[in-house]
Amino acid sequence: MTLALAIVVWWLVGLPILAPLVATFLAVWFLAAVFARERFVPSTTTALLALVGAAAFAGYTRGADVVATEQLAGLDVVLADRWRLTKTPAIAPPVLHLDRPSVLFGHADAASMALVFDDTTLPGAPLGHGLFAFDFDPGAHRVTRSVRLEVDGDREVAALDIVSPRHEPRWGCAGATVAVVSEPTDTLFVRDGGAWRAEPTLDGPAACVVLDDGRIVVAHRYDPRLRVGTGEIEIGVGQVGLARRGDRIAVASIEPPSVTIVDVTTSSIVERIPLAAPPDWVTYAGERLLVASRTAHTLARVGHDDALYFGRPAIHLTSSPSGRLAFVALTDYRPDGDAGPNHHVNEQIVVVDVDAWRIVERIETGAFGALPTGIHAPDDDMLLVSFAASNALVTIDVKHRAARAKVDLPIVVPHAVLHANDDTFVVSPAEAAIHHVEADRTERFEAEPARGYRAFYEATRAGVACATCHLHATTDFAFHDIGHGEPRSTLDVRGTWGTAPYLRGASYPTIGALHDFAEGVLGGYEREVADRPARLEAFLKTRGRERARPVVPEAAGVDAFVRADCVACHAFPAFTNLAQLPEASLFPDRRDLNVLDTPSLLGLRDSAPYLLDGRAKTIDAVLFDHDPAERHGSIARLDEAGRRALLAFLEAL
Amino acid sequence: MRPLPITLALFGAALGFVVILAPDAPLLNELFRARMSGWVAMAALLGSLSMPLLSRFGRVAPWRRALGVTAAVFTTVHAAFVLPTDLVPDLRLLIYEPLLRAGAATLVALVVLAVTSFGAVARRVPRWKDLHALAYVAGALAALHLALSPHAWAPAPLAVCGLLVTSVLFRAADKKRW
Repeated sequence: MTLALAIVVWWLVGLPILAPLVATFLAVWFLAAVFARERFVPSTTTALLALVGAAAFAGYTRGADVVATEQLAGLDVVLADRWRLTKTPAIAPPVLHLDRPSVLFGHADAASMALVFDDTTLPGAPLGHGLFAFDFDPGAHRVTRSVRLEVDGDREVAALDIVSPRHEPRWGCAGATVAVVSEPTDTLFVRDGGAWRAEPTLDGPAACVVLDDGRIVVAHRYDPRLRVGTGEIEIGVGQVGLARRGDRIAVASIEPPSVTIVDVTTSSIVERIPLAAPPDWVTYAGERLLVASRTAHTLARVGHDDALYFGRPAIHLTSSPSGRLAFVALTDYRPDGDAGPNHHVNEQIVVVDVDAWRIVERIETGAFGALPTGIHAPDDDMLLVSFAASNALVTIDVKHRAARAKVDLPIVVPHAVLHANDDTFVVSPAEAAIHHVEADRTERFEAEPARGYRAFYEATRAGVACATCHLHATTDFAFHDIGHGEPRSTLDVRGTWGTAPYLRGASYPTIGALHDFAEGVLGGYEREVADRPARLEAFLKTRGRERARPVVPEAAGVDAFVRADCVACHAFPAFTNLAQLPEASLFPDRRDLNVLDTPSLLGLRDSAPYLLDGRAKTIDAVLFDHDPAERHGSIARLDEAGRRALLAFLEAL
Repeated sequence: MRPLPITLALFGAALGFVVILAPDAPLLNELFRARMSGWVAMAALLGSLSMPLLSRFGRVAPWRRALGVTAAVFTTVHAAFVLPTDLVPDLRLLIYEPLLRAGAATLVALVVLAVTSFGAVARRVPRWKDLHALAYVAGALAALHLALSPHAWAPAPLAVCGLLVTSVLFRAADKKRW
C-alpha cells in the first residue's frame, strides 16, 4: 500500500523521471510512521488493486513523458539489434543486396559457416577467432527466394533479409540518341524510335556517353570492362564517370583514383592518369578534362595541380558546349573548409571560367528549388537544372542569376536532365521513370515508386533534405555544425540499418526517429505523410555499402585486431557492439559530457575523416597518432608485422 | 549458520575471481570491473527479491536479508569502481543521465534498506515491513539501469523485469507466509 501511495505522490509531484520514486516512497512511509496511529494492513486483493491501479493510472497519464525522459523510446529496437549482433551465430550486415558483390561477416563458435542460397552454398572463409567471411558475387550465386545461415552443417539459423534489385535510373547521356543507366539492375534504357527499350549491360552501369555514330559507351562500377557499343575494353572495376571529346573517352575510376583515356576508334587505352582524390564527376571543357571529387571537395584540371576547392562536394558537374565554362552544383560554398552556421546550407551553382581557371559566378538556387541535382547546359548563358528535393525543372539565366521558367515535374526526386534533338528528359530513380518534358509523357519501369526514396530526398521548410548532406545516402565528407558546439563530419548512412541506436551520440534509437529532428529543427515538411519514419527506415534498408572490389581480409589481421583489444568494442561480426562510452573515457582531452556510439568499422576505408570530430585523416593516424593515453585499444602490444596486418585488415573491411 | 557472512564471502569471492581476469588495457579494465561488480550486485538483489518464490521450501527470511545487504554492499562497490573513472566524467550526470540517475537512486534505496536491516535498527524502525517494500522500487530502478546500460547483455532487462513481476505477484499471492 505504501508503494501505491508513493506512486500517487510521485504522480502528483509531476516529474517524468522514476528516480524520485525512492524519495516519495520514503516520504510516504515517514508520514505514515509519524501520523498514522495504527498500521493499516490491507487484504492482498486490496493491496494489489491499489498498486496496479496507481501504476496503471500513472503510466497512462505520464507514461509517454517518462518513456521520453528516461530514454526508453525505441529501447526495444536497440536491444533487439544488440542481441542479434552480439549473440552467436550472427551475421552482418543483416541485409543481402543482390545487385552487387559484397563481403559479409559471420561470427560463431563453430568450425564452419555457410550461406545457403536457393541452389548453391557459399562457404565462409574462416579467419580465426570465430570470424568467417562470405565473398558474395551475385553473378555466381543466384538468389531468388531466401538466404539461410548454416553453422557446422546445421541449417537451423535464421535467414537474412534480401534486397532485390529494382530499376533505379539515375544518370544518363544524350547525343545521337538518349540513354539512361540503372545500376542495381544492370540495365541500359535506350530511346529508340520514340519509345524506351531496356537492354542488359554489365555489372553496375554507372555512367554512359553517346558516340556520333549512335553507339553507347557504358562505364561499370563492378565489372572491369567498358562497354563500347557491342564491344568491350578492359579498364578495371570502379568506373564511375565518363566524358567524351570526339573519339576520345575519359573514364573516371575510383579503384584506384584515376582517369583512363580510351580511343574508341581503335578500342585501345591511350593513357592512364592517376588522380589525387577519388573522382565522381568528369567532363571535357574544350580540350581540358575536368574532374570533381566528392571526398576532396575539389574541381581539378587533369594534368594540373591547381584544383579549385569548394569546401563542399559537387552534386553535379557539366560544361557548356563552347568549353569555356564549367558548372558545378553545390550545397554550399565554403572555401575555408569551415562548417558554417548551425544546419546551414546555401545551395548554388558555381560557374568556372575554364581558361582563367577561377570562379566567375555563383548562382544561389535556394529560391528556385532544393537540391540542384542535374544540370544541362545548352549554351554559356542558360542552364536546365533539376531539383531533386522539390521536384522541379528550372531554366536559369546564368548572366542574370535568375529563373526564366519553372516546370513542376510529375515525377519525384528528379536527377539527370538530358537534352537531345529538342527533346528534354528528366530521370527519376525514385519512381524508376523518365519524363519527356515537351511531350509531358512519363515512362515508368517499375509498378510502384521505391518506398521512402522521396522521404529521404524531400526538402523540409528549411530547404534541407536528408540527402543534402547524406548525398545519395552516402556522405558529403564535410563538417557541419549540427548543434554540438563544434563541427562534426557527416556520417555515411549506407549499411547502417539494423545498428540502432544512431548518430555519433546514439541520440536516436531508430532511423525513423530522425523524422522528429526534421520536424523540430528543420521546420517540418510541407507535405503531410503519416508514415514518413517507416518510409525512411525502408529506404535506408535498401542502401547497402558498395565497394567496387570487395576484399576478404587476411587471418593475420583478425589476430592482430583481437590482440590489440579492438574486438572488445568493435565486436564481430558487425565490428561494433552497439554500445556507447563517454567521450572523455576514450579521449581524455574531451571534457564535455557527450557519449560516443561505437561505430561499425565496415566500410572504414571510405569513411574518412575518422574519430568523433574527424581529428584523424587516415586509419593509420587513428591507430598511431590519436591515442596517446592508450585508451583506444592496445596497439602497443603489436609488433611491426602485427601493426601492418591490422592496418591491412581495417582497410579491407 | 550466519547467512550474511556467507553471502558476502561468496559474492566477494566471485567478484574477486572475475576481477583477476580483467584485461590490462585501462579502459577495458574499467569497463570490465564496472560490469562485473554490477552483475554481482544485480545477482544479489535478484536473489533477495526472488526469495518469496522459495518461501514454500523453508524459512528464507534470513537469506533474503543477507542477500539484500550483499546487494547494497556490491552496489556500493560498483559505484566505487565506476565513479572515479572517466566512465562518469562529471558527477552532475548522476542527476541528468537516465542510466546513472537510475543507478544512483537504486544505490540510495539499497543503502536505506541495508541500514535498516540489522537487529537494533530494525527493531526501532516503525512500519519496518512497509519500508522494506522499497526493495521493489530498488529492483525496478535496477532493471531500468540495466536496460539503459549500453554494455549489458541484451536480453537481461527482460529477464530481470520478468523475475521482478513474478516475485511481486508471488509475494502478493502468498502474503500470509510473510
